[in-house]
Amino acid sequence: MAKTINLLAVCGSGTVSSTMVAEKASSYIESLGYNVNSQELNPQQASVRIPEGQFDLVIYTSPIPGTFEVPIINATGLLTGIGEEQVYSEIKQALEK
Amino acid sequence: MQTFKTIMDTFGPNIFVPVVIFVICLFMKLSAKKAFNSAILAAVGLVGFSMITDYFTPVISPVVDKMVKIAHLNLPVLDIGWQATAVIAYSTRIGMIFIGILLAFQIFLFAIKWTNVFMPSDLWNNYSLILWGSELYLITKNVWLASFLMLFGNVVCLLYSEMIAKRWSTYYGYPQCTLSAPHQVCNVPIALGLNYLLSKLGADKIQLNPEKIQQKLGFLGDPMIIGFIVGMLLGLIGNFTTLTSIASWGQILTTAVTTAAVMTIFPKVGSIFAASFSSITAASQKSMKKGGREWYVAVNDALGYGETATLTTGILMIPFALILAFILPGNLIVPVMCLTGFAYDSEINVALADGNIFKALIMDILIFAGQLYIGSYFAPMFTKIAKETGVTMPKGSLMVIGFVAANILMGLITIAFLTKNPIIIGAVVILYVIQFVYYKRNKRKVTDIIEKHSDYSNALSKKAKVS
Repeated sequence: MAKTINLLAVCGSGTVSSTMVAEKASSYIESLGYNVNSQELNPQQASVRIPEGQFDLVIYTSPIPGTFEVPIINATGLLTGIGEEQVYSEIKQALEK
Repeated sequence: MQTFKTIMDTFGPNIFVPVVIFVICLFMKLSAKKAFNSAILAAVGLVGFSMITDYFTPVISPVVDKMVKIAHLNLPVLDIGWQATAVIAYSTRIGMIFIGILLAFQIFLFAIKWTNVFMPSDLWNNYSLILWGSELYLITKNVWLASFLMLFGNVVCLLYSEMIAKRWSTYYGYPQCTLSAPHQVCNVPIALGLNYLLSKLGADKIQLNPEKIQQKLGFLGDPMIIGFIVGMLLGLIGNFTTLTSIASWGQILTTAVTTAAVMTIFPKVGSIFAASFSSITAASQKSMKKGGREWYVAVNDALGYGETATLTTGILMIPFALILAFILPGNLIVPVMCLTGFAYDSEINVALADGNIFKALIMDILIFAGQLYIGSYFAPMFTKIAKETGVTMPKGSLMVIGFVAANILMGLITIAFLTKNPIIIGAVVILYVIQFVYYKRNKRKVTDIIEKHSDYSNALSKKAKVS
């Protein structure tokens, strides 16, 4: 049974761009052999929910107020299509830890 | 045309929108599986949207009704927020066809170097243009004029998008990215003027610490909390004269929890609907050709939302928005769903004010006041297109609006087009052409002036900036 990654994607209101990056990141993470459970939130919801410890990885297109222990990756590249590879390699690194 | 109308009437947007999405996907050379997936996501989003409005309308409308009748507040227009506005825009009769036309138009404009902004990468925000076209079409029944309005609106947006590109990407630290969302960039000329004026009046001398305010008031950024507070507030106002009765409290608390639920669930439904656009957007990015020139990729306005000064300005706007709505004479709108979205609308102002939240807040307030009037004017038209797309509307006088449909510049342009007077429309177009030609000839100069007026070396916000 493959390990399940709980992914959180954050954008302005957890609606449009977080969904788009979550989709791309999920299919990448799945291609590495994991299962993905993804959720979208806005920055303020995220700063409350991340410390609860239910997420393994956080990606964002909008900065999240606060500092956290979970790996947090700027996924803007997945939205613009510029620098996608770098985002993917950061995700991979974070998962390998 | 008659056949088209029959098809639309029979199937409705829940069927028609996914079909168009499916066709656009295939046209963008996506696989049938991805196309089908996108289409079903759109359908699910649309059905989810109806489920929410079907439930919410009967709860909120009697409260708004009471507010008008008992508290004598003439605010019969309910703000339903940008997600709902987008769903409505994409569900109108010409909405879905136009997303295809605008997509092709924007790729074309970028290819012939009319603009250096690649707008299709923020495809989603095109709903803003479609909305104005749909309103014009509804009133004039002239599909050509409506099309012209949308394409004209598009080039206007691109002009201001280019103007703000350097400032926005510098301030938010996203190289090569800019905004092109019509409801944001159409505020650029107003914001430039206000920024200049407020500097002259000495607004740069006042500095507030966004981090401290953010820590104290950050909870207001949660849609669930703000939904509860506003629902409660509306319930209290509506039941103002009968606060001793149990029934009143039933209604007050029901409105509070229902509004909280709607504001929490709506982004989820919006997210399902928006997911149907992600494949098309990603596919369109393949046509971004660099060609050795300076160029910008249009991004969703979510990218600036969480920056500390922006988020704080957005939160500080909440009480001012409510106060303005209640005191401004002639305003008809009660702001509800827009309350968690002010950070989006603050981005251009914050970037121009270089992180000075006091100045940005004043700009926000002034622009919002204008939007209340534009929105009040367009509410009957917006309500009509909302009904056309199948939104449950209560009997009586309640109307709906979203603040995207209350943009000042696009509103004024649409009012000019509504006259159907060629001289007035011509004058508006000439006004644009003059700005366009001047800008294209003095691009560097304009950018430098904007930078100069926005650089206050604000140490405070620079430190607080999240990279």
